Amino acid sequence: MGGKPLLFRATRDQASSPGERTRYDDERDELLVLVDGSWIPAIDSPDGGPRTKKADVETGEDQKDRW
Amino acid sequence: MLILTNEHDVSADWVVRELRRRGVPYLRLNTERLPQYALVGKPAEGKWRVSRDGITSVLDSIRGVWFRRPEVPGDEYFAGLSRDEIAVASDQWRGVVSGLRSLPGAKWINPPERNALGETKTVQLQLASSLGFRVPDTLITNSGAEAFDFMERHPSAVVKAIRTPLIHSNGESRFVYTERLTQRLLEGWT
Repeated sequence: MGGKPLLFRATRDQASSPGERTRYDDERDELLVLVDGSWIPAIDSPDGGPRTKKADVETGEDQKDRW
Repeated sequence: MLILTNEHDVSADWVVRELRRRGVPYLRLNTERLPQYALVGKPAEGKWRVSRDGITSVLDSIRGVWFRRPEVPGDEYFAGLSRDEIAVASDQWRGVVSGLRSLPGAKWINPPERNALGETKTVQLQLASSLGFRVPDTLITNSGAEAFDFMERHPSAVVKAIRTPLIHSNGESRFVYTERLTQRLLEGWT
């Protein structure tokens, strides 16, 4: 085997990352996200929250059920 | 209903909201925060309970479990331990969560061992093929020569990682997307 492994030749910078400010609400059992100065449930935010399916796919989080 | 998840999982948020709407009792355990709970398990008796802030949840009455991306506790819970010790401590928590498989009478929506098998690409491909699905010619190799030969036979071939290919390095993240297999990609790799 020689040279850099193929896998690492095909890497790219991550396309996006969840940059929103979030906090967890223990009463509601939901993640909140800061939108326009107000904390709202992430699943009610305009973009569907910080861990949308799209973000999952981009970050590889889509396969985190492994244990 | 027991949901084993993490606090950033918004898919769990949707399920929690629906369970609340239906009035179904549930416990959402964000497992990265498990050290905040007092946990007592007596597996031979089928008895488990977790307590936090004066509230105790008895897990042996749980009838359904959803294994939704639980995480191990973060480093902040292991102050004073070395990296190696943290790895061992994390693995102990992993063992505790896995140990909940012993909950009597609980139906697991997605047993973790079945999840793992389902996420194994080779198993997916073999099973799909055995069921009659048309599966693209697929090669798994660490040989550049084999990859080159494959590319020659399949000019439109793509290459992808066999497991989650997220690379964290120096505060930055890189990801291996599915890429067209090209001569340039293979250059110098033997």
